[in-house]
Amino acid sequence: MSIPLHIRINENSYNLQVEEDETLISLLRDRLHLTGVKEGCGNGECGACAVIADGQPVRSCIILAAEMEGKSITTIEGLTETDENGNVSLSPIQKSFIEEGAVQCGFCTPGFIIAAEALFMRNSDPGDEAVKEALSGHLCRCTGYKSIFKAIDKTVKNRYKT
Amino acid sequence: MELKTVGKSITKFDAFEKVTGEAVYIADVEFPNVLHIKVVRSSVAHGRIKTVFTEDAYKTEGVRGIITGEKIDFLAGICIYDQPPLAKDRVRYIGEPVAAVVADTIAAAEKAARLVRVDYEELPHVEDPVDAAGEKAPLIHEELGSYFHLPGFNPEPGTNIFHHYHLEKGDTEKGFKNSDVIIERTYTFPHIAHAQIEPHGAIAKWSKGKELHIYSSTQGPFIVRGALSRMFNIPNNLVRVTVPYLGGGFGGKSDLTIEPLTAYAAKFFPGRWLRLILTREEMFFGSLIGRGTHSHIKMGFTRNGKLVAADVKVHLAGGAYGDYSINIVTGTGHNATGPYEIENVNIDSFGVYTNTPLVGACRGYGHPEAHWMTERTMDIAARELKTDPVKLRLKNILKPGSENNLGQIIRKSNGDLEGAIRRAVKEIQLDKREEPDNPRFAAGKSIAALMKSPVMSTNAGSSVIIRANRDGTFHLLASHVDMGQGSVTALSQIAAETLGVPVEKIHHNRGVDTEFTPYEWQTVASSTTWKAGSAVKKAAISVLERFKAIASEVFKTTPDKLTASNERIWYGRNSISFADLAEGYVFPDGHAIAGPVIGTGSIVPQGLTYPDRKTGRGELAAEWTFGCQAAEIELDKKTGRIRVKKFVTVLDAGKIINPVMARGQVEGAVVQGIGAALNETLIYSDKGRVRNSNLTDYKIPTPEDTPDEIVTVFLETPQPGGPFGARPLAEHGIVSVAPAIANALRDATGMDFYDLPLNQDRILKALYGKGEEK
Amino acid sequence: MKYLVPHSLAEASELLLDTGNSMLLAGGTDLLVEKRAGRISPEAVIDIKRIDNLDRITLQENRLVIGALATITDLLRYKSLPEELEALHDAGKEFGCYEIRNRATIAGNLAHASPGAEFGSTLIALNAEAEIFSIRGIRNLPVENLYIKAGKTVLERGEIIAKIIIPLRNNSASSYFRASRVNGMDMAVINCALQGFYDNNKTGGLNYRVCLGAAASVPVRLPEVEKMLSRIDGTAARSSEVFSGIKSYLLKTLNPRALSLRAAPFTKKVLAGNLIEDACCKVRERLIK
Ligand SMILES: Cc1cc2nc3c(=O)[nH]c(=O)nc-3n(C[C@H](O)[C@H](O)[C@H](O)COP(=O)(O)OP(=O)(O)OC[C@H]3O[C@@H](n4cnc5c(N)ncnc54)[C@H](O)[C@@H]3O)c2cc1C
Ligand code: FES
Ligand code: FES
Repeated sequence: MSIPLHIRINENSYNLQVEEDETLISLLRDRLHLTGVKEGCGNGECGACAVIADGQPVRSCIILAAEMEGKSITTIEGLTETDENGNVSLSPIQKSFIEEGAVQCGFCTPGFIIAAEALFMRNSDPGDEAVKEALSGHLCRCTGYKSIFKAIDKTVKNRYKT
Repeated sequence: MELKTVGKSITKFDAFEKVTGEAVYIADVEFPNVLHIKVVRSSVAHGRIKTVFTEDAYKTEGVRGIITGEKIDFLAGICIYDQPPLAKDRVRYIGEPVAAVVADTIAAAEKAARLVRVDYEELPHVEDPVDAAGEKAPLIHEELGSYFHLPGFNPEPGTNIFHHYHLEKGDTEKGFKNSDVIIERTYTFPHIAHAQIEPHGAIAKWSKGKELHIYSSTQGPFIVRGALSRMFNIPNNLVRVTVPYLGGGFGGKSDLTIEPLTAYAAKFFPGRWLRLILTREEMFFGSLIGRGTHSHIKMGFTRNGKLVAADVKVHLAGGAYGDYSINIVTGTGHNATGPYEIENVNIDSFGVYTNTPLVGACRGYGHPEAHWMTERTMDIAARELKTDPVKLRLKNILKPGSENNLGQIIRKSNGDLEGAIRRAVKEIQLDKREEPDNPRFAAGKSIAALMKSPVMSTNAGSSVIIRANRDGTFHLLASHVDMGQGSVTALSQIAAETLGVPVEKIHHNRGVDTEFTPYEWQTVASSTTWKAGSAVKKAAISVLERFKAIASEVFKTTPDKLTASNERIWYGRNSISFADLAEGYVFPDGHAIAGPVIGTGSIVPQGLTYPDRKTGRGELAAEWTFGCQAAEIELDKKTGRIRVKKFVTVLDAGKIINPVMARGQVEGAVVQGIGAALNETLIYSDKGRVRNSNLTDYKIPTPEDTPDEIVTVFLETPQPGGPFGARPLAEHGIVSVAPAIANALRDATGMDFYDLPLNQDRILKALYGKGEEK
Repeated sequence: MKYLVPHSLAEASELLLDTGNSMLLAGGTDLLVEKRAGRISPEAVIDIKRIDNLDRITLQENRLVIGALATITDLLRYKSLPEELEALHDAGKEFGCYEIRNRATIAGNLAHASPGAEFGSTLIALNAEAEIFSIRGIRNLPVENLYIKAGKTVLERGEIIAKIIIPLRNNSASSYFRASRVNGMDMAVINCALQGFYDNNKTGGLNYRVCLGAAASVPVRLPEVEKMLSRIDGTAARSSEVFSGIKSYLLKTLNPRALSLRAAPFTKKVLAGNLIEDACCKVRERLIK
């Protein structure tokens, strides 16, 4: 059995049929092949699967696809922009992650970037506490986190320079 | 010569695809006609398999087969062949694969796997390595004596000891007789998990009954190739191992893990891809785990602080199969006494079979285990000797001219340990005391020195290929696995520097494919930049030589009259661009010479040998990296929690190829080390089951747990053999984290701890327990 | 599994009654975890998120009413939280992480009945009631009486926690503290919620309600400790005497589960005493302010 789902993902509208027990992560990864959404734990503990749903960051491994009826989802794939010539431009936070060495194996990276992007959507000038709050519950085993904090700080600072 | 690329913080070549979600990891690889594997795992720690009931499972819709170990007639392994890919007759730990259910969907496979019933005759089990080495322990491998093993290992058939490494130097009896102060302590380091954020996976397919292609998130594609080739008795060149982007290894994806099982199951479904991606839960027992040592150390000092004798016994709980920890036994052994020169040493390091998941390489590879005892003991000794712990260390450290346990003479080029210690003392401001205002907190500071050598096979070779392209760009092909450490970038920097071209002109393969990329032993032991980097340098030089050889025909001279610079080969004031030489030279009249240029470079660590059978000494370490770490901590006596306020690491890693990436390695290792020091441990049930097999109760450090300040300092004494003077660097940041913190805790509270982790249970019991409760 | 979307509480209750082995789905942060781990396999989930107005938090005359769908984030963002209910804010801040708080509901936290749940002990200390809806009728139940054992409440089939009602109490203050293993996201090793209040005309001393989470299989009130706390008179000597009395009392009487993965029983007992001390000091500080 399946049920209809109307959903926007990275600015595209979809009319889908989903299984009742299909998780959002499975819809995104297995069906729509948005494999930038990562599964690190499958039980809400690591943050690798984070996506933005109607402006709020959530963990797609512990949400049913069916719960997302009418919602608008942004995944890591939705953060880059491509112009008419096919040139890709990265969002400021993506750039800072590269520049500050905040990416090692990269498996946690989409989750962290989504969390940071969602933070900027709700707070254009977050302080240290807000940044900590936004990243809490995201695990990275490679970087020790310092470079990730630096990348976010840098993005905040750059915004105010320009 | 001024370096243009090496030593610069070039941003990572593969970061773009990682921040955009383009990078394809094992779980993202998709195939047509794929089948899914769910592993049925042993629910008893030790037992005989009586029957495996698969009828109910078979009835599940979508199930295509259930593979068991019954018919397996070979054992897999690298150093000691002791493990079947699926249990045969016997299970030896909870989590051991007993059957592989193969189905159209993962959901069907999971459902069916729950319906497979296995009856066991349970046998007594043992988890503690000292118990397991004892005479009364249940024997886990009766056939140990018949297992094939490489030279250099010493199993003791009839016991659970799969490797006994013994080292002796001087005369310890005499040494202790001449000691005025003897310190004797016992330490433990529990089993921990690598907890890479990416779960391990493998996807395999057989063709024509004799060709195997396997995708795996492995750190050792050529190790996997060799082992599978041997297991299935097929030629090396018909086993193809492909490694996509790898989401964190730390040793947990080295050697062999799930590949033999996946390949074995796939054999029954020729032409189809069989996919096994571990769940997070399975990552705690279905792949590799780390550490698990029980160590006893006795150190003898003269009154004026000279360390004259050491006697060490280490028991490593290697898990139910010993293959992956067998080298750690040797590594922990010869490093057991830390970076000190001691005249009289006796070391016995035992790798012991236990009914637990399998221990394998884990960031640090024996060194954190060793330093946990040595660096704690040095602190305790300093107190007993009423001397300063820094002075005591400086008095005894290995320095140029000293002879280490192995009999190697330390050279100046091995690095500046004294400088590292002094620098760490300075960075942490060891002489400055700040007492917290609030009496619920206690503050402390301390240091712990470290050394590390890459523990590796004597023939751990590297080879690379550089291809020149007609527009003056280059392809660098190599088979190290970049799991975030940045080796793709670092090796490209070495290639660019040697060729004298901008680094943007180098393209390095992402991922590895044994079909196309040249041999590399495996990506472990912090050795890639140093070892494969040397091969890159050689390959680049061979490209330049080819260019010169071709140009010499054009200029009608000999190659030695030519020079290379600015992407051209020069003869006096005439020159030809690399681009015009890349595919051979074409003369104005159209006739061409030489053909496309490729350069190759191969190396093997110089002069490594097996340990001497009697003394355990010999050339077991190709290089040394020395350093010192320091911690400033605060203990909240009400919660029993330690906060690491500042952590300092000083390493002499030779020339740093890429400072930002090098710092990233150290910071990551430090925080991982803090996790192991403060919280991480696998918790076993009475029955031998890992109870905290999830990130909810296996707590790794979170963003809020990172220290307020992490200071990383590199001293750069050049390494003559290393590329541009580089030495191994990566794991080193984890080696002495635990002892630095425990020493600081002692400084803060006067309490000595010998067991890890330093969690609330231990600390509150020490603060308030006073023996009234266990 | 069926996925059902009722549009009213009545419909939801009916669905619960009509469908065997069905479960309500709120934020799903417990339900999906349990399901994926194979610990539950409901035949139907009844997603109540599309029932209108259930996510409201409203301040009424002498009580705060939290709707069944109010998330932890809703609570933390709620501007008019009365000062005396600051424990709710304390608990919300400790809870999970930002992304979990966006989904997790307070009612779901109660209903899941995990022993260390943030809002179990907090709402008990605040003397809250759950309004329980069923098509067979509505009943109100003190949160304190909700629990049977770990993972089990007295809710019967067809019953839904519709609201959580927290009485406001003049001259009171509250606080919540938890002990955890790491600084970031974790489950409570043990937690403590505490309310301090003067009797109506502020004549007598301070009285307390104290509740511990993760100290037993359900959140536990500690009447004896409440009594001991009321002997605090503001002098340092008396305080330290009372607290050390409480600590030895807890060492003797608490009996946490021996096999907890989060801490040994002794650790929990020590932490309980220390948390009560911290929570009490915080409450007194808040009251005096
Ligand atoms: C990563 C992570 C971290 C977490 N951290 C914490 C933490 O720090 N502290 C903590 O306490 N918990 C924590 N939790 C657990 C969980 O988030 C909470 O218990 C949460 O409040 C549950 O609410 P929910 O809306 O998600 O419930 P759901 O998962 O939707 O439901 C939980 C249970 O309650 C039932 N239910 C839901 N709503 C009602 C209702 N109105 N009436 C009757 N029954 C109902 C459901 O049928 C189900 O059985 C964490 C969970 C995760 C995954
Ligand atoms: S995969 Fe969803 S939180 Fe880890
Ligand atoms: S970069 Fe590897 S887990 Fe974060």
